[in-house]
Amino acid sequence: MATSGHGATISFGTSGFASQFTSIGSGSSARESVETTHLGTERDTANNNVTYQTFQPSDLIDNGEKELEFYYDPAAGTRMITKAVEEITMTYPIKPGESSGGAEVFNGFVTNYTRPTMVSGDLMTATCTIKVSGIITYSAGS
Amino acid sequence: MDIELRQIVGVSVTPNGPVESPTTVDRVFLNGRQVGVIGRYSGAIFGPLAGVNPLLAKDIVAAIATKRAEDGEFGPPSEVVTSVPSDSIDELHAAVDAAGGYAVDDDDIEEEMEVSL
Repeated sequence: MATSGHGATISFGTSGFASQFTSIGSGSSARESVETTHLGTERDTANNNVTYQTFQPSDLIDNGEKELEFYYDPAAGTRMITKAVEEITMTYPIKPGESSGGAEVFNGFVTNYTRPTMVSGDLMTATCTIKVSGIITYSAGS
Repeated sequence: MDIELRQIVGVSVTPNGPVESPTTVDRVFLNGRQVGVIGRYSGAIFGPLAGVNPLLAKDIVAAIATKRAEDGEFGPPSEVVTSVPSDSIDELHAAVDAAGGYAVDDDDIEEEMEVSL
């Protein structure tokens, strides 16, 4: 069943960075394709004897980045760019009937921090980008 | 306080396929319902789920410290509780109050008076 992202959280295990997050972008994982075409790759005799390139998946996976948007707190936000790699836990909203939400656990660090635009009558918001370093462990809610 | 810690054991997607993967993070349950997460190491910082009262979070951290001391597996968690920082907002309100409140445009006052008449 489709559910909204309301209630999702992200926790930083050692820096303890916290804010009122308005958006947590889960990012994407990607891997290259490695060409495996060789001189003996089969021809398509029914179509002018062309040969199609063949590929295999790379053994390297880039688990991408997480984009966070949050209300800016001058006391907490800017220092995130200086922090070392730490363990980060992203929790999904708890669905009706569950007592715990799904979770992603990974190591990461901040690679980009965008300071807020300050205008009257609007809350200051900032964004930061977290680079995922290594494996993401997924755990379902229950 | 009925606190329970359950290690997150999930699945990692590797080039060789999915593998079961224990993490160094515990889910924290209060009365059977998850209220946050905390690392499985000394000095870890409790990360409350959305909607957990900051004062309750402090009590939860104290309960985790007690439980870990009993179990003897890890040292105590950090006393720092991640919560919504409000100091800067409080300072802003204090500064506005000290300056005599928010400035209001005279035209707005006139318009309000006209409406009220």
